[in-house]
Amino acid sequence: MRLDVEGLRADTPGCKHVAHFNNAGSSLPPAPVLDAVIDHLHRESEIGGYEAEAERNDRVEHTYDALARLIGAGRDEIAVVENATRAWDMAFYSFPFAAGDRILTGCAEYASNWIALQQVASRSGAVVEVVPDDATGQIDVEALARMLDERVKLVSLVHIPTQSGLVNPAAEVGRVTRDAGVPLLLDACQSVGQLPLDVDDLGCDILSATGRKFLRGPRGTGFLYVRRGLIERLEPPFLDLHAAEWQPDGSYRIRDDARRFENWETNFAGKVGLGVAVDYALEVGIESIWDRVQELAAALRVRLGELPGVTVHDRGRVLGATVTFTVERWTAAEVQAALAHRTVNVSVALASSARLDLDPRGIAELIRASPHYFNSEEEVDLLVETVAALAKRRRTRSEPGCTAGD
Amino acid sequence: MVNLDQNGGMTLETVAADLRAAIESAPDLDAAAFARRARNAIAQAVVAAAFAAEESLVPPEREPPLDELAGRVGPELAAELAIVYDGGAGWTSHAIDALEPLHALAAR
Repeated sequence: MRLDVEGLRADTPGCKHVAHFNNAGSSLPPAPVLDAVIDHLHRESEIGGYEAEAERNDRVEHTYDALARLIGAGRDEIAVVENATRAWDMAFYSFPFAAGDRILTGCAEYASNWIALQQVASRSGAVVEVVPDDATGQIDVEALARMLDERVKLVSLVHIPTQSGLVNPAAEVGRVTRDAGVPLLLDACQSVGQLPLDVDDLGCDILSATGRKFLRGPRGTGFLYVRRGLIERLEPPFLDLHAAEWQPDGSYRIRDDARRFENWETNFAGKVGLGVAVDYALEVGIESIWDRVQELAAALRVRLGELPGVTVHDRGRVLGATVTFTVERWTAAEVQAALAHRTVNVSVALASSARLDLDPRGIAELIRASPHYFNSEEEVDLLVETVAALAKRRRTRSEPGCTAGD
Repeated sequence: MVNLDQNGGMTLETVAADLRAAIESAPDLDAAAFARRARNAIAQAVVAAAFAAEESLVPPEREPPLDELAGRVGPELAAELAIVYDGGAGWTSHAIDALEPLHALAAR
C-alpha cells in the first residue's frame, strides 16, 4: 500500500524545520507521540506523578500490549526499560556463563554489546567467538551452524547494524540456533519499526530494541522481549522491589514475568509515548514502512554512488534504511556540518562503534544517512545535491584533470 | 509548501562572516579546538558558495591575523587560511587544501 507521505509529513512537526536523515540515530516523533508525552507530563504537574500514573494506568499498561502485538509476543514477555542497550544488558548479564562456555557473535556486533561480551568473558572464563560474514557481507549462516556445539551458551546477533544498511538474515540464524537448542539474543535496535518483526518467525529467544529510532518514540525508551520459557531461567544482574518481592522470612522472590528486568522508577510519560508510537507505526503499516524506506534508501545509494568522489559502503544481500558513504577530501564531520548548513541532518559512524566490520575494511568513519517513510523525494534531492556540491570542489593542486574550483 | 533549504536565504556575506570569525578565533583557542571550528566553518561556507551565484566572498574589513594563525597552525596552513579569509576567486579550493592539515590538527 502506498503511504500518504504528505499527510504523514503534516503529522510530523519536525518536517517543517529539517530534512531528517538521522532516523538511525533518533527519529522525528509524530504529533500524537509528542502530545501523549507532554500531556502526561502536564498531568503529573497537575495532580502528582504517582497520581498521574494511577489515573492513567490503562495507558501505561497499553504499551505492553502494543509492543507485544508489534513483535508477536505475549505481554508478559515484555519489559519496558530505558533504552536498547540496557535491555540487551539486562538479558545478557543474566546468563550464568562459566569457564569453557562459548558465546558466538557476528561481525556486525555493536560496540556496547562487544564491550559487555568482553567483560563477561574476562569475569567468567567464557570465550567470545566471531562468526564470519559470507561473500555478500551478511553473517555466514552455514559457518554459524558449523560452530555450534554443546559448549555454545548464547548467540548474539545484531539484526541491522549501526554502521551499515545490512539486514542480517535473522530468521535463518534463528532456525539454526533453535535446532541446536542455543538461545538467540537479537539486537533489533535498528530494525524495530523499520521492518516486520515476529519473534516466532525470527526464532529469537530474546530481543532488545529502542523507542527513539524507527519506532519514532520518545528518547530514553526501550524494551526487552524474553521468551516465556526462558524468563525464569534468567536472574537479572540487579533487582529492586519492582523486579522482586521481599519475603517475611527475609528472602526475596523474583517476579515470574519479563518485568523482572525492569526497575521501579521510570519515565512514565516516555512509556506512554512509546505505546502511542507503536500504535502509530502499526496504523501506518510496518510492511508499507519497510517498502518505503527501502525505496528511499535504494534511490539514495544509487544517486550518491553516481557522484564522482563519493563511495557508498553498504554491503549485504538485503539492505535497509541506513545509507553509509564517504566523500573524497572531506571528513565525515565536515560533510555533516555542510549538510547541517542546508538543514539536512545526518550522523557520523565511527569505526569504534563497529570494529569487527569497519577495521578490516580500512574504514575509520562514515557518513550515515538514514531515511524514514516520511522523508520526501525533494529531501533526497537536497541531500544529494549538497553532497554533489562538496564532492566536486577541488584542491588547488595535485588533481590532474580537474580544474581548481570546478 | 515547506521551504526545505531554510538556510538557502542566508547571504554569502553572513556565511563569510562566520568563516572569518572562525579564522580570527585562532588566538583564543587551542590548536585542536581551532581546527575543529575552522573546518566546520569551511564546510558550511564551501557548500554555501556552491549554491551562490558568485563564489567570491565580499572583501574582508580587515587583514587576517596572519601572525597569530602562523603561531597556532604553522606558516603554510596560515597562508592557506589567509587566502580563504580573503575570499577571492578560487578560495574554496584553498579551503579544501586546508582541510587535511586542519583535520590532522583536530585529531591531536
